[in-house]
Amino acid sequence: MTRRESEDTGSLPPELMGEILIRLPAKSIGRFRCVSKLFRSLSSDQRFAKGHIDHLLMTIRNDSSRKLLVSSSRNLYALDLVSCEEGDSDFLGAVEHDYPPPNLKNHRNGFVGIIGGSCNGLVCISQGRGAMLLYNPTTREFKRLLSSPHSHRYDDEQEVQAWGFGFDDVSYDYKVVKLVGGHVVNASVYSLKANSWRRLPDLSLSYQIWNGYDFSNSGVNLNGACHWVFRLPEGRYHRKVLVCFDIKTQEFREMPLPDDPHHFSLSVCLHLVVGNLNGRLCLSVMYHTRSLHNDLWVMNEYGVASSWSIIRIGYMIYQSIKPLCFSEEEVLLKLDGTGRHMVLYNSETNVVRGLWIRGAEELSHDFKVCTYVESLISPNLLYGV
Amino acid sequence: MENEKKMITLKSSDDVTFEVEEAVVLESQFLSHLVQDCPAPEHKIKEVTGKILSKVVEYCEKHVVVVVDGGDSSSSSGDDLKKWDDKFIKEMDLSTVYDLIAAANYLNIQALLDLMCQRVADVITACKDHKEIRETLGIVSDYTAEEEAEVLKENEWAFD
Repeated sequence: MTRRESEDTGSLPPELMGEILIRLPAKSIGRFRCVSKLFRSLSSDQRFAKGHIDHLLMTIRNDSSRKLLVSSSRNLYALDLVSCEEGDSDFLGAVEHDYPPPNLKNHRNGFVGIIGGSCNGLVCISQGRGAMLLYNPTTREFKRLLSSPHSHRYDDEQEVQAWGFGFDDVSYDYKVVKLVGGHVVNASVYSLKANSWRRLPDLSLSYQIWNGYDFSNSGVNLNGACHWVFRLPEGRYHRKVLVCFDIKTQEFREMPLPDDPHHFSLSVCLHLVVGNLNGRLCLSVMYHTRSLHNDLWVMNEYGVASSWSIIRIGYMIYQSIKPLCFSEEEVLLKLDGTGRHMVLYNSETNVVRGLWIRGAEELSHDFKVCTYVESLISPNLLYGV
Repeated sequence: MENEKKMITLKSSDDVTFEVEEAVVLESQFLSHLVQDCPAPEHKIKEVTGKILSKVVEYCEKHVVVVVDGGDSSSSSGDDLKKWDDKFIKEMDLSTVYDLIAAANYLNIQALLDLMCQRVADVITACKDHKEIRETLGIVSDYTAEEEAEVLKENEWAFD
């Protein structure tokens, strides 16, 4: 450390300034870069961005530090969960983002981007016909990916698809996995580092991706893997399976379901939806006994079958639900079907209340939503390449 | 007395001495090694002044007591400690915080380093723009007007 550098940061050597910087929210770092040349150089490369997101993910204790990204009609909205905890307003303030990004000319009118998953602050959006984007909603930076392989037999909106997105921390690479259903599931993986798609061997089991509800096709990223619920034909019913794809090894495997015949017997369990609540794998189950019920299951220890615990939902929702995140003691849910808003369910009071976006009171019927963390990760400058 | 506590004397760069229990010294990785490798009764710490060392000792004494007492995890001891930490940093000026960061880094006391860095991070986070950060941290900009316009444009997203 030279005397000069030390004076520039007040009286702290730059390497210790770095210790402070990784503790700042992404937006404060953006403002910090405008303070001085040294501060900019300390906080601008992707090595720093990776250290920052690693520190953030290590210290996040609950979902309240996550944000929501909603795609509806031609718009993208970023919103803050904290705003729905303050006061009892049912309207959330949101920031509208330019979408599609200005230089993506061949975007089709009216097509809602399908959010394929989020990881390290990047969100993967499918725009149909193989067109894909990686987007950082914090820095508003995006990258258009090489078109994904797609079948020419059908228009791909008719084709049954599922997506997943995650980070491989061994090869330092972001990967998108695209699954195309039918009787055999075809899987392809895109590597951001290699900027190419590679076909994986077809899945040996006859999993079926099912577009029976609108959120079945975006994979939930957790613990270095993407998770979906697929189905397996068994007699006159379909067995629901929780399938995970390991981003590193690029292998599929089944995750154990809760050992509860009351919820999961073939004839009772109608819908199963996967989510991530406070960093834990979560399942919402809709089942039919005398009437329709919904419950939530949370896997407290990843991969351990005996660690599933139940959150009972006493309120009759009558629809399949996707758990999005915890907000204080309430769970934010997206309803299946034609719901044009999200809902918050309070398990203490057993009350469900609607949640709307201010300025976009009516979302499109096929709106999509995911959670993300605010990061400085650039989809264009991959650290380590 | 079998359980008589072993005392160690720390001497600051400006020759202020502090007599502390060995357990307090063990909060610092650097001092633990020093005490193990060199069993002298007194240790001079040339890099830290008396003013800062007194703060370090105060912090370590508080934390070592609570860890021993709260061994069977009563949650109130954690809360009390947090309150104590808040009070500890509350009225500290920025230059003391910086000196403590440097001392915690040198003496390798991770919890103190975390606490102090988070304190500065919170101060910076509360600033609404780069000008306020400059004012708070006492930094003079070295950007030309053109450079500043450019870096502001580049980081426009951070100001909404």
